[in-house]
Amino acid sequence: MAENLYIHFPFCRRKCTYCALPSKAMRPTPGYVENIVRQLPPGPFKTIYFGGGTPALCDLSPLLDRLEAPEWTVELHPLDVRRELLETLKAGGVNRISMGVQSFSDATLKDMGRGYTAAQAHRAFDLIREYFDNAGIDLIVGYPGDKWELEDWGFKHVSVYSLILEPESILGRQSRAIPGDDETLDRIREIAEALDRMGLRRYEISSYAKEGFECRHNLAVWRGEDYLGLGDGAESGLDRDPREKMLSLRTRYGLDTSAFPQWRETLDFHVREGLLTKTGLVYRLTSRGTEVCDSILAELV
Amino acid sequence: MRRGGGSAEQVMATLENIRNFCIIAHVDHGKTTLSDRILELTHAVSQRELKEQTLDAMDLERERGITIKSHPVSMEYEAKDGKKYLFNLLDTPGHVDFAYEVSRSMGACEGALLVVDAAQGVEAQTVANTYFAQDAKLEIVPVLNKVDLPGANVPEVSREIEDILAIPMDDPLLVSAKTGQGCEAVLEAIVQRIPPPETRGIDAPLRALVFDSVFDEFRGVITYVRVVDGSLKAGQSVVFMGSRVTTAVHEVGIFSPNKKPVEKLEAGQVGYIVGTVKDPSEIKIGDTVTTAKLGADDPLPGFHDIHPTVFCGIYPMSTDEFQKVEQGLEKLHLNDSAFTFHHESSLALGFGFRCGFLGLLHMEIVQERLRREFGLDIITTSPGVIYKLKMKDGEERELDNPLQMPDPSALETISEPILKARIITPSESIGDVMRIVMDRRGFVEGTETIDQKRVMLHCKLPLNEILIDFHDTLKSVSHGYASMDYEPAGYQVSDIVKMDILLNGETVDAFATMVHRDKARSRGIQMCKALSEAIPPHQFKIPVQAAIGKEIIAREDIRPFRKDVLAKLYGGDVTRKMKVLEKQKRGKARMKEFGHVNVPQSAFIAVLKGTIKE
Repeated sequence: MAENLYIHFPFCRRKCTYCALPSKAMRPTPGYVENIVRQLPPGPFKTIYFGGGTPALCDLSPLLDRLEAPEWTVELHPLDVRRELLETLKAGGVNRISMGVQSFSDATLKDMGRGYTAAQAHRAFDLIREYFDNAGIDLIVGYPGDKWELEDWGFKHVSVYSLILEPESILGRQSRAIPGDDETLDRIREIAEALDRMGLRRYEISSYAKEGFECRHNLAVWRGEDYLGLGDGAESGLDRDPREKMLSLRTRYGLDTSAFPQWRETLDFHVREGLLTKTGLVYRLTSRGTEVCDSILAELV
Repeated sequence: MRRGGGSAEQVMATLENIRNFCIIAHVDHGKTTLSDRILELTHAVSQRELKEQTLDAMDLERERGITIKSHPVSMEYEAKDGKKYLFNLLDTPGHVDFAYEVSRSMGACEGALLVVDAAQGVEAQTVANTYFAQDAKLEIVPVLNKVDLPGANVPEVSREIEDILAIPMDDPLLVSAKTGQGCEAVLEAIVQRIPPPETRGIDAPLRALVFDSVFDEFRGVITYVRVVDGSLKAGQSVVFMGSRVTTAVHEVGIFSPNKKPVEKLEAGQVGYIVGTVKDPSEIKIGDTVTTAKLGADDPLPGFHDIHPTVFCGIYPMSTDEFQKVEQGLEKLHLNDSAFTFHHESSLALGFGFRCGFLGLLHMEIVQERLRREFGLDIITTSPGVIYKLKMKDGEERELDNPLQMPDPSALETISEPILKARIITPSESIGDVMRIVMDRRGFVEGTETIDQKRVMLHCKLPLNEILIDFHDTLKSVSHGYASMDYEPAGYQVSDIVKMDILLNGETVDAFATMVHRDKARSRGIQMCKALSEAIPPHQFKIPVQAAIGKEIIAREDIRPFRKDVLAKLYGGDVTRKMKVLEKQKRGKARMKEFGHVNVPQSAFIAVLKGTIKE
């Protein structure tokens, strides 16, 4: 039985311009949560992750009553953040919060259709920190016209995603020019350095954390462990293809090829090209390697 | 519907009323239209059949405006003198690659209609084909075609034919094959001017010239012959004097225009033999057929084996299609025994075939037919020629594959094949044409004025230098007006070296090529550039280098791409991610991998063409 549980909540206040994830600007379908409760296996779970969409648009209490796990993350939108909600989550056993901030620029936040200012997001994060030590944010790099300095709000975890123009997103349909690869990579490098100064180190291509605050749910997924996905738009990874372990190359712990001798020739080649390092049978990305990880993985598929 | 006249087999075939002829012309001067008109006037085929015949031709031939092969036709014509004549019209391939076949087809004729476009005038192939016809001692009947066009200049073109080809134009035939104007006069000229066949007699020992053969799935090889002496009938046993193959004759027949069995073929006639031969390569064009018993002592003159002059490797794009490519080559070989193929393997491309062709056009035709008719995805390597190597230990050998090039220190000399070429070009382009000839290590032996606007250059060029791109360059510097024809002119000692191409430091044997030392650097740069633009960026920098031995003579770098995507993770993302990776991988399946560098098929083409695809 899967020890990792993901629950998807595909409801939002409005659709953000960059978003191509399965979610809709709509009120939660009546009975959505109850329906998931009926599908819940007995557990126990090592990790639980509530993602979206916007999980807090639903009344989560039926799930809070039923579930528990050593690591239990809920994604929050800054507009969700109220004391009452935080109290409920904490009382229900949630112990990790990931808030989608996306940008520190008010102009960009407006352009994205996020509905808050950077200052409002900061206040929301401070409030979260009163209840949860393990709290972090998501940021997007490469949004057109975006410009900001990273602020230190006391993050334990930060995820940095580069903007992908998905044809099904609002931005994708507008065919606006987005910054080039060079600019985006320079930006990611700057942010990585700033985070490093704050004591958050990169442990996966798009994830940074203070020591001990790495997201165990995401690591489990990248390492090829089984996960059960519930809710509309969620997919499960059960009886996963062992080859999916290759995704662990994304993490700083690297890809252990003890069980995959067939990958070593290709990986060794990339060691020579400076994209990977090798310790025993474990391969890890160099900083250049992080920029082209997918195309290395595509060669192993 | 036939409007009258009779079919060919009804004509009493006496020598005096047989006319065997071919039509020769430069591309697009109207050879096919005139043959169609002749068939129509002699009622050999109806309008409807004519159309079908045209449709029957291979796509490739129509696209390129060339005829690779078509079968002979026999016709009956009732002349103005009241007598009936039997016409045998033999087709000639018309292109220099098939020079030997042209000369053999001509060997089966007594005359040739030389069709010249009255607006275009004499072109390179007009000259080449006329020389062939003169060598074959044919009576040449010049026909000025397209006289109805506004640009037609009959006096000028007549003068060209007299001056350049030394053919008297006292009584020119002025024709528009398109409208039919003057075509009746062509039929009369065939009767009046082309002599009847000469023979030692119907009762002399059989001698028949093999001028073509086709393969029929059910009947095996069908051999096309012109009977010179004696007669030939079903039930006889015959021998091919050159190849010494013996066969029983099951059937003989004529082309009227479809194959029609007859009791016998006699001296002067053109027809076919169905025997017991199953392997087309046993039948050599130009060979002489005689009876197994009481046969002729001497074969007809001029027979020799033909050998390929241009070589390249042909490999399946994906290794599991090896057998399909082999089957394709075998099938094509049944109807075109002039190309050769044998197994070869390359470190880079795996198992494939080394193929030999009569010339460049022949090579392109075979490659294109493999792609189109058999739907095969193939990779072809740089075309090369046969070099003659003289080793220091005195040994002499031939080299048709750069991969078999011995260590240069063991070599005394290398010789390369040379061509004698005739290029006809507008006078204003002569400077450019001379320049490209010299660029290609050729030299101009002389020039000859054709008319006020055009000159003919007599050149010597290494065959190796025209393999890639020469014809296109010639056309482009002359704004499409220059025409060229060539013939082999022996071997010449030359400073030829083997040039390797390295991708990311590893030699890719499939790109190895033989090149003159003076040209190595520019060719190396050209190949590296073409490759660097055809190979997509990878995660790492890829040096593309050209080398002679250990010395690097050219280099281009393929810059790495900067990044791939760093997407947000959510529940369904891992499955999706794996799908994206698989898709990315599939995108590369149609590429060949050399030392972790993926090379798309277009890179092979870019290198072969020597040009960079935009």
